[in-house]
Amino acid sequence: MWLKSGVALLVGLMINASLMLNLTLLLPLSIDVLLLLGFVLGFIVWAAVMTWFYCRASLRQALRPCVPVLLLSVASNVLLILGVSQ
Amino acid sequence: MKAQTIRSALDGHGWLGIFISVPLFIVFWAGSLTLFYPELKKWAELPQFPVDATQVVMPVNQVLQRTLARYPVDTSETMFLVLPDENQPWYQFYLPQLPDEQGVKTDMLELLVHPVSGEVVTDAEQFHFADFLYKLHIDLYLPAGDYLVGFISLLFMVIIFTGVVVQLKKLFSNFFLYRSDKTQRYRLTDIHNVIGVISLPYSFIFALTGLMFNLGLISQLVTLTLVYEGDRQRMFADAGFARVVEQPSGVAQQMPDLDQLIAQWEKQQNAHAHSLRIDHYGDQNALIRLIGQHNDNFVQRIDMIYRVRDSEFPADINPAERNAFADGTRFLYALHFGHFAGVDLRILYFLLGLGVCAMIVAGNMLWLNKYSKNRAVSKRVSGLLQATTLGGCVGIVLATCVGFLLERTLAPGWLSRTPLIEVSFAATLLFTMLLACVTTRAKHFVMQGMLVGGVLLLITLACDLLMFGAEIMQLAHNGFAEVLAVSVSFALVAALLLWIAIHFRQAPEPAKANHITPPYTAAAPAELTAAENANQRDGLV
Repeated sequence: MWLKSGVALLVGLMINASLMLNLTLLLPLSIDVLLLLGFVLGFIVWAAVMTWFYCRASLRQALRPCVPVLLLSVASNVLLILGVSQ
Repeated sequence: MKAQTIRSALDGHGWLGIFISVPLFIVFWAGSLTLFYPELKKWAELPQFPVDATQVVMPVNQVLQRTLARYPVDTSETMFLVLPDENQPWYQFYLPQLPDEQGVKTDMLELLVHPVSGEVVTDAEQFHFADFLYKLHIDLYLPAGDYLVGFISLLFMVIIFTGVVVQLKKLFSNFFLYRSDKTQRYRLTDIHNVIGVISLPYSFIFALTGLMFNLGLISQLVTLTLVYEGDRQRMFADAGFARVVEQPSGVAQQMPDLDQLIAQWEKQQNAHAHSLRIDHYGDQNALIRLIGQHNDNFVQRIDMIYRVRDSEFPADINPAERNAFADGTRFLYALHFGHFAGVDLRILYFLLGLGVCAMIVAGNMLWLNKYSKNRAVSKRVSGLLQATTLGGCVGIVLATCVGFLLERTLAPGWLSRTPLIEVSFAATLLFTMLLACVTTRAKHFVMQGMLVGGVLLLITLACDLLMFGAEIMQLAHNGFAEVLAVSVSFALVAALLLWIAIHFRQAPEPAKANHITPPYTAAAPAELTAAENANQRDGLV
């Protein structure tokens, strides 16, 4: 359970940060609204990902959908940040 | 929902719950009391230094001039003035002091000033117990405790989500289910589930806002690094918390009349000012920040800066557009503390808060009963968790009662008053936890704890009546009925604690020593349906 909790905490934080960064870079809203959205939604996403881990019998089962989501989201982050800086 | 998913969710729910239960209990207990922060403050201060709410308040300008003439205040720095209103009747001044003869900076002056006479009554920190409870709620009074409470809030949200997963099918059908005729395990399960479902929206908002207040920066770390390239000030400016800084020029400047300024501002903005922050008083670069509340908007704070040399609120430091982030977070703050409505809502919040405390205790008892039979969990760990739960929950109630008694009885002018109350609070909590480690009769322990708590509150009530009975009645006539209301509440809470003590005295002690509740004994097979049997096997009852 300790390992599951630790991984859930980290993966949840990474998915939260990455998804919220995508929202900030993609949505055509003013920055104060985006910050508020990231602030509120981010924590819900984090807790939801951790809940997903606790609902699976094993760590491997829990990681199976999370890793592709995280990789896709991070790839999108990189592309968006490179696009913004160009 | 698959049975395996529910089983895993239940395991996680219980495992997380047992680890955060005691700090979470403390946070909820202190938070429930903090809802009545203004009332508790008035209860502590007003009988010692009575105020008549019907008398005219002395102008802030005059009070400030008198105070500045009397104390060695460093006016080149920032002073903070809280104005009297219906929530707190005093002027509270937080003033930076000039360095001493060796050039060492001293602590800020924290003064409680009489609103009618303008005389300094005492140090604002002397009546600190309500602030102590607030801080206990925010950071458990520990170093880096705000982050700890943030992580506890995160895990609490996960517990809420896993609880919903476990209970989803029965969320509505079992809404009012309480099987009083069944075994203790069923009753505890029903208490835990019913309170959990009823308080679900409330708990969710508390977990979310607690997270936002305490772990906000962690959540925004990636945005800060990648979008703002580490520039915190720029991010704060976008979030509506821009910091306006001016250096003192050394050139003297006549300050405006603060009362006139406040009156004009309140009229123009249709707002009510509750505090002022003044940078470099008497200097050409002085800034006066007025902080208040809109009269016609829902919990909308207003915060504007007056530049003295321009004699106006300049547009460059007072953006015309409202900021969604600043307004949104302040709204959530108001939602967290129930600021947006009257005392009736706060009483409801209080009852829900106590309900969550009861839910935590019931959940722990269930988990401990289940795992005390599990060979994978060592007896020592199980016993330690049991003692921590018992000692922590009973101890925090006792420590609070001790705190209230000392707040009422210690002399207001005694400088060690506040430290003594804090040390007594911590010592009571620790001592109760130590006692819980050696007790073998859990129910007897709870009974004694509640009995002592009830008696302490009754002594506090007696002190109220004997020491300040006349003042409390006079205050009630002069517009401060809250003081009397707090005393009456103590009587009600004492009655509740004594009722719990009697209830636990009558309940039989478990046969096996060191158990909070008897090990689960299945009801007669005929009583259990097949589904119940399956649930029992899976630990889902």
